[in-house]
Formats: sequence, C-alpha cells, structure tokens
Amino acid sequence: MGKTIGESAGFAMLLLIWILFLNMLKEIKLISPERMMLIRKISLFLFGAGIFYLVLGGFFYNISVGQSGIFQYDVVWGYGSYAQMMSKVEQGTGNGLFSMIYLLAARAAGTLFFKQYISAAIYTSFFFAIAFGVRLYFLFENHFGSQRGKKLLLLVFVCPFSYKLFLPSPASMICCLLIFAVSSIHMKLPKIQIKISCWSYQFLLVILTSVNIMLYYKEMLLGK
Amino acid sequence: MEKLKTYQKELMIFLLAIFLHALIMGIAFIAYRAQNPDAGYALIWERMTTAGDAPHYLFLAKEGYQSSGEKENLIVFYPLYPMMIRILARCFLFQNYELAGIIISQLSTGAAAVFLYRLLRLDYKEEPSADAVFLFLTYPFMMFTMGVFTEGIFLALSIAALYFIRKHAWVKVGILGMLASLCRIQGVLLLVPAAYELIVMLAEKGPEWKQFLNRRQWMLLLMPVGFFAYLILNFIKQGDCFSFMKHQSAPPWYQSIQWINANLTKDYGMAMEYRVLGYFIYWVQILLFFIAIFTLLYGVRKKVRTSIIVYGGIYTCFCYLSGWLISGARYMLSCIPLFIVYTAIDNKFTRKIILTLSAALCMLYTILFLQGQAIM
Repeated sequence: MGKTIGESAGFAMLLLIWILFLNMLKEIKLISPERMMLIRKISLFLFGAGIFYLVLGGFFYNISVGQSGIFQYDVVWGYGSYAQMMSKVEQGTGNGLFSMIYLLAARAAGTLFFKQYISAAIYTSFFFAIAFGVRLYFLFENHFGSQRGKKLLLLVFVCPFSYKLFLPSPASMICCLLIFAVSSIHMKLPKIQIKISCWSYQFLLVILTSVNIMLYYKEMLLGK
Repeated sequence: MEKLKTYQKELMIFLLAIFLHALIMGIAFIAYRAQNPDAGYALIWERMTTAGDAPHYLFLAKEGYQSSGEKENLIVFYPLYPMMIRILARCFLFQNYELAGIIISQLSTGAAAVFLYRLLRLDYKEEPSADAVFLFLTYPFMMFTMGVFTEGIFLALSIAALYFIRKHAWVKVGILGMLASLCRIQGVLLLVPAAYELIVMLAEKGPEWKQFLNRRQWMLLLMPVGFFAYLILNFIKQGDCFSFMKHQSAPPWYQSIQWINANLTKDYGMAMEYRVLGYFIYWVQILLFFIAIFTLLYGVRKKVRTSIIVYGGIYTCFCYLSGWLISGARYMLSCIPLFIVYTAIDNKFTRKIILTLSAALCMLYTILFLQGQAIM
C-alpha cells in the first residue's frame, strides 16, 4: 500500500509537470492552442492506459495467488530482465549492448530522480510510449482523418504485448524511434480511405484487449 | 474616494486576520481548559514561544549564529526573521524578544492577507476572493503564523511578490524575492513564476519583443541574492558555504533529498508504525500532497494563470523532496496557489463546505497544538 501511494504521488507530480509544460509551450506560442489541447488529450489517454496496465498486472496476479490487495507493486515493478538490469545499473555494473541506449536514458532519469532507478525506468518507458502514441496519432490523422486516427490509436494500444510499452523495457523507445523514422517519410505515401464499421471496431477492441490481458497475466506469473 | 474605500477594506482585512487569530486561539484555549481547569493564559504564550523551532529563532535573535559548540547547528535557520526580531526587540521593546517575534508574525500575517486579497481581486470577484482569504486565515495549521515561526513573514513576502509578479512590477519583485530567499530556501522558487511571467509577456509582444526589454527586468536577478547571502553567512561563520547541509543531514533533522515516491512510501510506513503521530503528521502530509496536485490540475482546467500554477507545482514538489518531512502540513500553508485555485470554484456551496471543513480542522489542530501534541 505504501509503495502504491508513493508511486501514485510520483506519477501525479509528473503528470502535473507534463501538463504545465504543454501549457508553457502554448503560452510562449511554440504550438497552437488547438494542437496543445490535442496533445494533452492524447497524452492523458496514453498515461491512463499505462496506469491501467500497471494496476491490471498486479490485480490479475493477486487473483491468481489469492491475495486481497489490488496492486502487487513488486511484481509489476520487478517485471522482466530490464528491471533487474536497472538494479544492477544502480551498482554501476549492468550494461547490455542491445539495451544500452534504453539503460542510459533510464539511468540518466534515475539520477534526476535521486537514484530511484526502477521508478525512473518506468517513467522513461512512459515518456517514450507517450511520444510514440502522440506521433502515431498525427501519422494516422494525416492518412485517415481525426476520428479514424483516434480509433486506430486505441487499437494499437490494446494490441497484444502493448503493455510492454509501459514496463521497464526498451520496447517503447524502439517504437518511438521507428515511428519518427516512418513519419519522416510518410509524406510520400498516398492518402488511404478505409472504413471501419462501429461493430467490427468494438469486436476487434474486445478481442485484442482480451488477448493482451491474457498475455500480460501469463507474463506476470512467469515474471514472479 | 474609490482608493479610500479600498484602503478601508484592506485595513479591515488586516484587522480581521489578527482578530481571527485571537478568536481561534481563544476558543481553542477554552476547549483546552475544559479538560485542564488549572491551565492559565500563560499557556498560550508558552506554546507560541517554545513550540517547535521558536526557541531556536529566539536564541539566534539574542545571541546570533555560533561558529562552534552545541548551538552551531542553528545555522540551518535562515537569518531574516531572527534579524528582524533582534532589531525590533532592541530598538523598541526593551529586549523582549518573544514579544518582538510574535508581533512580527501577527503583523506579517495581516499583511499577507491583504496582499492575497489584492492578488485575488485582479482576476476574481469580491465574494470568492473574500472566501479565499477566510480559507487562508482558517487553514488547519494556521497557528504557526501566530507564534515565533517564519510562516508569517514568509507568507507576507511571497504573496506580495506574487502580487507584484502579476502586476509586472519587476523592481519590487526583485527586492521581495531577495528578502523571501533570505527568510527560507523556498523563497528562491519565486524566481520561477517571475521568469515565466516575463517570458510569456515578451512572447505575447511577437517579433518586436526586444523593444520591451528594460533594465527593471534585470532586477529579477536580485531574487536569489538572499540565498547567496545566506551561503556567505555559512562561510563566514563556519568556513563552508554549505555547512548548513551538513547540519541538516545530522540529528535532530536527518534531512536528505529523495524523490517524492520514496518519501510518501516512507510516510505511509511511519503512519502505520506510529498510529497517533499519523493523524498529526504523516496522513496529513500524504493527503495534502494529493489535494495539492488535484487542486493544481483543477486550476489548469479552470484556466488559473499558469505562472501561479507553476509556482504551486514547484513549491509542492520542492517541499515533498525532503527525505525526512515532518512539517509538510505547515509548509503547505505557504502554497498560495491552492487558495487562488479555490477562488476559481464557481459553486458557492462547494466553497462554503470547504471553508467550514477547514475552519473545523483549524479549531481541532489548534486545540491539539495547545495540548502540546506533535503538531509540527
């Protein structure tokens, strides 16, 4: 419970800083008010999605082991090899070639957040995941329009393994780099007109969410 | 005529602040006496001058900072308030340091209420502004503005600075900010809303922004000078600009800097371990943090000026970085943006409910303060 309160507080403060940062960009006229509102809305949605996954993992784990709490902090935070690497980074020894950039970014964040390395790794993942989501939305918007763009973004974030974007792993960073690379060439692509019916969309959402949750649940158990 | 009316109103607010203090303390004393019939009025004086850090400020006012010995660690306290007590006591009050400390606190709180009202009236109507001033004066831990504590003077300086930031009176902002940073480290944070307001003002001017730069704006650089003066004081007295940090990390303060998540996790652990202290210190701190964040986010939604919200955010963050926080509730009294956001609540009924709740808690905690409970 204490960890849940503490981490909620850390996230709440970061959320406030992010919103104020966007407000500042608007007020010093670096982005238009409409664009700022849009980015704020999307980033809040993605932030909520990330929190949902973090809570969800602990919730399912708890059900499986018969505990009453809703948030199994240690399971979620200690998930995967990257979280373990972060604790090694704290001792100054952990460095893998593949994960080097992610670990460097997370380590820098860890220094900024007074050596809270594992939390900082999550913050880093959140940052890249939100950057990825926002850029992805603008790419979708360009090709399919605003309404369909929002629907597609939601689909992407309930896809199998999308929860990994918010956990200590370089997945979000790789996706972010990829989407920036893709969006730098997207202007050459033709405009595409696709129609997604309301029913098929809802159906897809339910299926993908179920698969995603099942995978997450399985990984949480394995992670432990 | 209009100006005269405004001054009359401000005088009323000033007197009301002092009267309200006396009223709250008086009622709390009556409640306390119901349980302790032998208690005399001297108890109020005693609590105001001996609780918490009050004896340290009085010592500094009388004896000054020490280079060595048992009291050398009192260098952790900033010099403005003890200096003011010393001047007032020696020049006007026949060396009655306690009375000087209380007078400074009371007058400063009155001034803080007046400046808060002025600041609110720039953007809001009469009634919500008056409600916010009442909320400020009945904050549950308001008793710290009554005795020998830095709360009163810091509030007066920081609210006045925020008012002049809003008015773009940069020279006054520079001077007030400098004094605030000579009073408490949080005073340096006033530089952030000031710089933000200046940048936004220049950004609004468009490509000709350079024409609007003037010498007065450079006065903002005065703001951290108070803190630098404090560093020099550290050097003169103890040979190290940062000796205050060494003392802060040692008993009885045990201070360190940690990210908020670690601190609130620790607060929860302490609340569970020390159940009674939890109600006075730890749960209050945890709750206040989330109330502050929620309030500031609500302020963004209600389009409260961003410079004000930025100050609220940075102030809250700074306070909660403290690795051994036990006075969080007291520190949050100086988070003025919370009272400003309160003014932005449209629903009159909600405002009154919050005000009533705050006043009730103010009475409760003042009684506990008189009892000598761990209200820090």
